[in-house]
Amino acid sequence: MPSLKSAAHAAEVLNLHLFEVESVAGDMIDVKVLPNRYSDAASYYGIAKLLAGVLGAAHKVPKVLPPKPVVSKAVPVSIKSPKLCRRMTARYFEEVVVADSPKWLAEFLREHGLRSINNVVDITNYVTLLTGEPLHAFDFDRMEGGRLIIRPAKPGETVETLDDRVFELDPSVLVLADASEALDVAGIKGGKKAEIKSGTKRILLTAGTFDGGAIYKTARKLNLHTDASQRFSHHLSPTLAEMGSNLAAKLIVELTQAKAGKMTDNYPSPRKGATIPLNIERFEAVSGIKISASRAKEYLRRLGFVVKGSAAIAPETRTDIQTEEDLFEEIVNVYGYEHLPATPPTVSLRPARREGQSALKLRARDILAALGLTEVYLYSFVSEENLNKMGGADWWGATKLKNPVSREFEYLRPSLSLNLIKAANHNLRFRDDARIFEIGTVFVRRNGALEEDLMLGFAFASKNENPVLELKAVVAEFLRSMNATDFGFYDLQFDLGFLREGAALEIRSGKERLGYIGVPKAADGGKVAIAELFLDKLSDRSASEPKYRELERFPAVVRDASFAAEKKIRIGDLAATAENAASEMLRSVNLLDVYEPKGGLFGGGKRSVTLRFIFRLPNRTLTDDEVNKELEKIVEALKAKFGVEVR
Amino acid sequence: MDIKGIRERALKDVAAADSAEAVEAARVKYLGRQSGELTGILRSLGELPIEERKKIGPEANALRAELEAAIKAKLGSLKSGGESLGVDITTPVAVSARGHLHPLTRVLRRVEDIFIGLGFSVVEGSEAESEHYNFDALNIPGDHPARDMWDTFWIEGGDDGERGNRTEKKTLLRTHTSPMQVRYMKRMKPPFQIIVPGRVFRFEATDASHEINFHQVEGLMVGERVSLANFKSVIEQFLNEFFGEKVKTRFRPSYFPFTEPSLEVDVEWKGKWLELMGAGMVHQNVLKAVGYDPKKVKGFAFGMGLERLAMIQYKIPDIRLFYSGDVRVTDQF
Repeated sequence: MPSLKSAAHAAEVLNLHLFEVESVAGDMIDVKVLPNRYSDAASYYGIAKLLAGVLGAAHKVPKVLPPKPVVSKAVPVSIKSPKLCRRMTARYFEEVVVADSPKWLAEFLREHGLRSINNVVDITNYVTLLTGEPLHAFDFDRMEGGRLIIRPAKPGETVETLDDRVFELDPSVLVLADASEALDVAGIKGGKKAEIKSGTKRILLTAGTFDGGAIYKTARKLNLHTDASQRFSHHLSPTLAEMGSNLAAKLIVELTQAKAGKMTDNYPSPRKGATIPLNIERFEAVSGIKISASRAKEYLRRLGFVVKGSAAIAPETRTDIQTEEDLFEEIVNVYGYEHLPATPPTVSLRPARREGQSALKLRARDILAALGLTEVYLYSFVSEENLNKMGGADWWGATKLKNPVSREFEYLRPSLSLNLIKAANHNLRFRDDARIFEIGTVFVRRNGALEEDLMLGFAFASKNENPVLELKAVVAEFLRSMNATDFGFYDLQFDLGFLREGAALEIRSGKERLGYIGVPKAADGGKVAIAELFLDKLSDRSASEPKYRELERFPAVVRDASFAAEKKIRIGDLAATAENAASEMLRSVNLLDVYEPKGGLFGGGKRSVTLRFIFRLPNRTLTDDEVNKELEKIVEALKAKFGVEVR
Repeated sequence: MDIKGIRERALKDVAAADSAEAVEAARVKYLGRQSGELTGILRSLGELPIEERKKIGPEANALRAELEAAIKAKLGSLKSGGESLGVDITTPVAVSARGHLHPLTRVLRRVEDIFIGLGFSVVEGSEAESEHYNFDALNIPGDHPARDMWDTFWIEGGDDGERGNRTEKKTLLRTHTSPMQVRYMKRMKPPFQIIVPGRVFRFEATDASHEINFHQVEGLMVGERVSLANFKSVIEQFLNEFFGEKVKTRFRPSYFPFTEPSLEVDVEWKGKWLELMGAGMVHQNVLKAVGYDPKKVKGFAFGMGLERLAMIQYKIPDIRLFYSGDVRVTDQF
């Protein structure tokens, strides 16, 4: 093509106006033809035509005239399923000499990754590359009844394909058949029965058009994907069949000395390219490009459209052109995106913001980073093995994938904890502790319906002490920072099978369950603590901003008290009992120290617990005397309930 | 006047000083009020011809500032040996604990902030989707090979009954964030402009640039007058802002079933074209499917991979590192 300077130039024009170029090697350009353009562009002729159109180059369509029939034989073709086979051409040849291909042909095919078989088969493959039409030639002497039938396969009918595989078919599969049986899988793969071999004398060259959807489904069903099935499933135009047949016939006569018969063309309802009115104002509105109607029409003409008045008729090969927007795309592509103006949009000013979960996540992440945690992103999938370690798939309501990539990723994660524990332990290989969190979606089946929850998961791991208390403090501070009100840690009211009994608490705000914290049974070696919160349950609560409180004006009084308590007595219970026993004067109870020597205190079984009590009233200073009385009240209550002794 | 020579000697003297007294001696030698070498030069500036003064003045003044700084630093280093406070402030310390957000979070924030600045709101959608919203409503027919552009994970027990407005039978993990286009348009009246970030899934083999789960950011702008030229303007502003410089971009024709015209956007990164996003004008079949009149409203849509942006931004060589759960990755940020 005279307007093209080099392969690189062609590649650039292709990239900017037509299709992405995968690679350029020497004068070979590997073009990624778009899925809707197989009909007109997955061929040498097609690409040449488009390049010429884009460049505005004078371009001669290689008009191929078929050889004149020298024998009068024409083979009858009947199409039983005209919806699935839109067109079928069949051309008869005799006195064919099947032999090796000439060098140039074998070489050409080799460069395209195809094996040379014999001159007839090679010609059909060559013509496919040139025109985009898959063709198939049969040994006519092997065809019973001397006619071609395109019909649905009979139930259980089998075809042995050229690669020696046997396929059992059903009536959803279309076949090319002779009078007695199927010869191939239509549009997908040739059959053994009428294979062209050395010694073949008479051949029937076929080129047809099949319904793209049907070929797509059949190829998937049989798991039989070929170049032909690829092409046909992308909706080829019936025009290609004739073009392909003509070119192949010409080459067969030239290269095999065959005598051509007549072509039978069964084409029940010929396809026409779509006629679409071109409205240049609409084009400008959609593209933002201002060009004259005559220039737009000129672009279309270059691409082979016929322009009549204000309407454009698409070339018959353009199965993708159906709407006005399709025309617009053609015009834009020729015009070139490099010339597309960048015009700021006109919009009314309205607040733009993060909505819903997006805002919530932003806020949560900032708080968690401020608390010193490291964020991770983990897979949305878990293995059955991992689930089993943590209560099992049923317990979680975990959902399986129909087509997992591997056993490791078989289920949708029903909880963030599963992968977080793994990740926390992984990190212990490089450090003494890890404090990680993830925000993500989990999938749980509830009453049969698949539901998604937005969760916040924590995993703290350490080589030393189990970090569950540290995690508890972080969770509490996180909840406070999110303005959650009235939340607390409570004994579980239900079973969390994957957490260690007695080392698990539920986090509630009023009656609403916010999540849980605990030590998992399966911790894979390390000392791990986990917590999970329903992040989306925090959204409403966090809408309320904190309110200012009057600063404390009177001093607090601090008293520490140590108790000898049975080991089984929980510190949380001691604190709660103390709070219940005291008046509003008591502002807080905290653990100061636990002392637990080997063998225990006081003859074993006991430990020393030191609590710190802070007393304060908002309106006056407390006297020593009243604080002492208050503390005594508390101590009495603890003695009565837990049998503790003051040390 | 040999400013250079003075500089060399003075700095050497200060560096060699091993006591406060020695530093002071050096100071007096060069900057002393009476007989400092440099002081002398500064004092004599007024006597110089104007051209020479213009040249030497600034040099001498710069040297004075440099020497004063060097003397101050030297005195600091001589004093901090632990004598004064009982604390040696130069002792190496462990880095104080700071939390770290994942690189994808950081990149997403930048993307969101830029688009919010351009007037786009941020909304999100669900990760499990119906076949209808993921494909059919986006003009991707079931029997067209175009569907092979998205390798899909299907979920067992697909019949999920009524869930929101999901009445369809087959459930999958969304292969792109585009279903949210349809859901949002069904719910809202134009004009609007949004971005939809989110996790998406592809059934494919993993390698350095492919993962089975990754993130996309979808964009959608719909109104009575929205054009491809508007898209170009918005996206160029985004890219310039994101890459912090004037990046070279390239728009190429492409094909997506839910846009027409369709295109792809490449950016030039280190001498190579990198595919960054797919885009186009929302297909009229999609507009019709949500009850809009394509003659009245138009829109553009685009989608890009968040991991790719993060890989470019932070020079992360392998997409799988994002999902490794390894804090040594996140703690770098």
